[in-house]
Parts: sequence; structure tokens; C-alpha cells
Amino acid sequence: MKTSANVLSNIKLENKFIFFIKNIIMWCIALTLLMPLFWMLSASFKRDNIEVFSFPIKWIPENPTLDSYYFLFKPNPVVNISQSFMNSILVVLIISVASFFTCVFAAYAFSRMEFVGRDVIFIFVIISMAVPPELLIVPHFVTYSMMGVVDTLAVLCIGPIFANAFGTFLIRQTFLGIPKSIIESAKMDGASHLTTLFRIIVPLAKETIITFLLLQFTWVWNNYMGPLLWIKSSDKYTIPLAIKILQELSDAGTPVIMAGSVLSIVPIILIFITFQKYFEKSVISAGVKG
Amino acid sequence: MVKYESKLKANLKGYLFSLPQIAGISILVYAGILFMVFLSFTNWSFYGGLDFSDIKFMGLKNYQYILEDDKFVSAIITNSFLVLMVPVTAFCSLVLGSAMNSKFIYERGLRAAIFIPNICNIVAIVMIWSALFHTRLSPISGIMQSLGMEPPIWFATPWNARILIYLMNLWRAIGFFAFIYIGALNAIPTHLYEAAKVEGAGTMTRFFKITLPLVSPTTLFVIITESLNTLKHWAPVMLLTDGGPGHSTYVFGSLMYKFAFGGNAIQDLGASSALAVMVVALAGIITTTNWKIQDKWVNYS
Repeated sequence: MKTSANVLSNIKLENKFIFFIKNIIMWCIALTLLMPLFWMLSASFKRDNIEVFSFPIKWIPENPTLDSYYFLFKPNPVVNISQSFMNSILVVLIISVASFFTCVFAAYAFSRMEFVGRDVIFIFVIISMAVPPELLIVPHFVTYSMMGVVDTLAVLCIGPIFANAFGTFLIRQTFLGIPKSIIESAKMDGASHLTTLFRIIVPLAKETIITFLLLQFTWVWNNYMGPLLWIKSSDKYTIPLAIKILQELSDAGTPVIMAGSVLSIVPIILIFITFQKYFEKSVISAGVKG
Repeated sequence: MVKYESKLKANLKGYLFSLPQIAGISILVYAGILFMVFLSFTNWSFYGGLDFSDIKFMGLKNYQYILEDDKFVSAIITNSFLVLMVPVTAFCSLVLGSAMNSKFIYERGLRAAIFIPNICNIVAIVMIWSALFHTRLSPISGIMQSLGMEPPIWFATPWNARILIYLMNLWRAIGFFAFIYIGALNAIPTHLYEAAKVEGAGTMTRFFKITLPLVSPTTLFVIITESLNTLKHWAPVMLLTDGGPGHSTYVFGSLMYKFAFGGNAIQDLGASSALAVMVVALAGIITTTNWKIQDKWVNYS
């Protein structure tokens, strides 16, 4: 009796030890992956390039200073960082709200409405996902010129709002998983399409929709190619382009560039951590099937 | 009559609901592709604005021009290298995903930490990456020297540059795909592992005999997604190396950009379209072959 108890506690101890070691290893891996970001953070508080590149690396600056952050927002001839931030926020907000409606409507039509040619059209929607917009820059250039939207913020919004096959597909798949009986009973009660959609279906697909908006938020916020191609005037730059232009055309040192990078990354990390719960639920618990 | 009307109404409602997406996708994707194919056979440039009056039909000249360009050969090498490395990315993500698929202290924080490189904006990442691998001042070189290793001159040779591009891609992608793999791993019934354990299979055997085959649908997804990413995400590569050294690290996309809009060069929209047509075709081929050959190695049971 005594011996078996000993064995048991030994196993427990061993498990605890393994658990402990596993944690240390995984956290080391995670922190190593984040090392470049720590380097960026620390560089943004340093005074100049000499301090940034001095070796051995000083992870904690000796005399941390906020000068780079002040410099960033000081009026400067090449870019206006605070304006760029406003532009980025504006574009992200417009796209999030508008694409929510266009994608949810299309997803509902392709999953819960009957109309001629529905499934054929949907196949075209799916196939379009294999054609990345990054490869269609020439025709888009012509289309956007014809629409007269080049060098306005609207040019950044059109694609994600009106040609969002990914969002349509993702949300449609979730809508399909909602039991028909729930929708039928709503229809019995005389609910219109809009009521059914926003009162019953959208709340049930909350996790997928939030995941979609979260992923899209990161894509739009980080979009560098769009502004690079279509935006020419500096008062319409979004954050990624503004940082790039600042690095190319001004005498800002590495600390300033890193300060800009920190400010461009912080919002996205905060948003991600806030909504991580939903993201994990829809990616991890559901898994990707095929 | 009433029935006919209500059917018409239902149809109209369906089109109305899906119209914004259908219109956008038709114009931006499908009309775009057709227009691009058309342009690829012409000499049209944007000189006179939207004026199509002196457009000339060039036959296959644009394609010939692209195929004979040295930069195109570099793009083939760099792109092929990046695509061939995709299975390595998938494997690393799977290993990371399996390692993370259990209980941890402050698990949510750990998962966020792994995922964060994926959501940082690429300009910031490239700024960090270029500073870390700076030609003269690289902190990484400093660390290597202090460990008694001879650091290479980063970005000095084509292969160094390509490997650094790949490492940046890997660093950004691994967290995202590890997440996807955790989902797939959760779906594997635990009794399979227990049965294997009873039969005395070691960790390695279990990984290669159970995990690997059972997550193969996810691996297919990862490989298709990441291969397409290497074709379409040309901005990171262009930001990091600007095609250098020489023009060895051009990828199809950045070459396309250079032809059409690059610097002070002529806006050669025809050549750029010809290249884009070939790359879009390639993207289609990668996707369909992967779907076609999947029953050879993907296990859905």
C-alpha cells in the first residue's frame, strides 16, 4: 500500500517536472520569436544610430528618451504622421462597417435564399479567391483611373468592400451550419429576410464574423501595396507608407523609424488580444477542414 | 400568376442581396483578368491617359520580351526557391503546433506571442529585419562574432538574400499556421494515441504514423495558401531587398510592379500584363494540381 502511494506521488512529481520544463522551453521559443520586436521597442527609446547599433546589445537603454516619438509627430516636410494615423483609422473603420454588410448580405443570399444561378455564381466567387488582387495591379490601375478614385482614400476601400470573396465564403460556410429549423420557424412567424438575418443568423455566427473582421482589420491596417500604388499625395498616406517614406526621404534615424513602427504595431496587437477569444474559438475549436 | 410573381420577387431579392459582391468581383477580378489578357497583346501605355486611339496589337512580343529578360530568370529562381521551401514552413508550423497543443501557464499569452509576428505591418518588420541584418552594423553578426563564428555579409550574395527573405516569411507565417494546426490536432481522437502507446510506439513513431497522416488535409491547406502567398506577396520582398543584389531577388510580382510603375521607367503595361497573365495561370495550376494530387497523400478518414 505504502509503496504504491510512493510510486503515484513519484509519477505526479515527474509529471510536474515535465510540465515545468515544457513551459520553460515553450516560453523561451515564444520570446525568441518576439526578439526582433523587443529590439524594435528598445531601439525606439534610444538616442541615435550609434546607441542603437552599439554592441553588445543593450536591451534596456541607459538613458531612455521619448525624443523619437516627439520627432515623429513634429511637423516635417515629407510626411504628417498624425494625419496618416487618422487616414489609417478612417479606412479601417469604413471597410469594417461596409464589408460587414456586403459580405453578410452575399453570404445570406448564397446560403439561405433561392434564386436562379445561385450555385454557379457562387462557384465564380470561390474561383476568384485563387486570383490574388496583388497580381491584378495593371487592370485595377485602369479601372480605378476610369472611376476617378486614384489618389483618394476611396481607392483603398473599394476592393475589400465590393470584391471580398474570402469574407463571403467564410461567412457563408458558417451560415450553412446553422440548423434550418431555426430559420424556418422564424419565417413561420412572418419574419422578413432582414429580420431573420440580423436578429437570428448574425448573432449565431458571431465568432466567424468577428474573426473575419479581425483578420481583415490586420490586412487593411498593414496594407502597404495599395497606398504605394494608388496614393500619391502625402496627406493621404496611411501608416505603413508614411513610415516607409519617412525612412526614405527624411533624415530620421533608426530610433525614429522604430518609434513609428512601434506605434503602427501597438493598435493591432491590442485589437488582436481583445478579440483573441473569438479568433481562437473559430480557428482552433472548429479547425480547418480540408 | 401570383406564384410566378413571387418567384420573380424571390429571384430579384437574391440578386439584390448578393449584388455588391457579384458586381465587385465581376469588375475587379473577372473583367480585370480579361482586360489584362487583352493588354498583354498590345503596346498600350498610360502616356495619354485613358486614350485607346493608338493602341497597337503586338502579338506575342510582350511575352517574348518577358521570357528573354534576365530579371525574369532571377524571378523564376527566387520564386521557385520560396515555393520549394513551403513544405519546410508547413513542417515547422506543425512541430510548433504539436508542441503547443497542451496545457501551459498563461496559455493565451503564449498563443498571442506566437501569433504576433503575423499581424505586424510589413514595413515595420522590414525595417527591423534590415537593421538586424545591416551590412556593417548587424547586431546578429555581433552575436555570432562573440560566439566565435564568422558572420556572413547578409544580403551580399543572391543566396544569402534569398535565405533571409525565406526566414522572414517563415517567421511571419509560422504562428498563423501553428494556430491552424492546433485546430487540426484537437480534432484527432485521443484514443488513437492511447492505443499506439499501449502497443509501445514512441513519440516519434506516433508523430509520423498518426499525427502526420491525420493532419494532411490541413497540410494541403497550408501548402496551397503559403505557395500562393509567395506568389502574391511581392511587396515584402521588394521592401527588403529591392531586387538586389543585382537583380537576383526579383519575384514575379515585384518585376510586374517595376515594369508597370517602377521608378522612372516607361510604363510598360503590356509587358507587365503579359507577366501577370503567366503568374495568374501559375497560381491556378498550383491550386488545381494540389487539389488533384491530394488523394495520393491526403487522408480524410
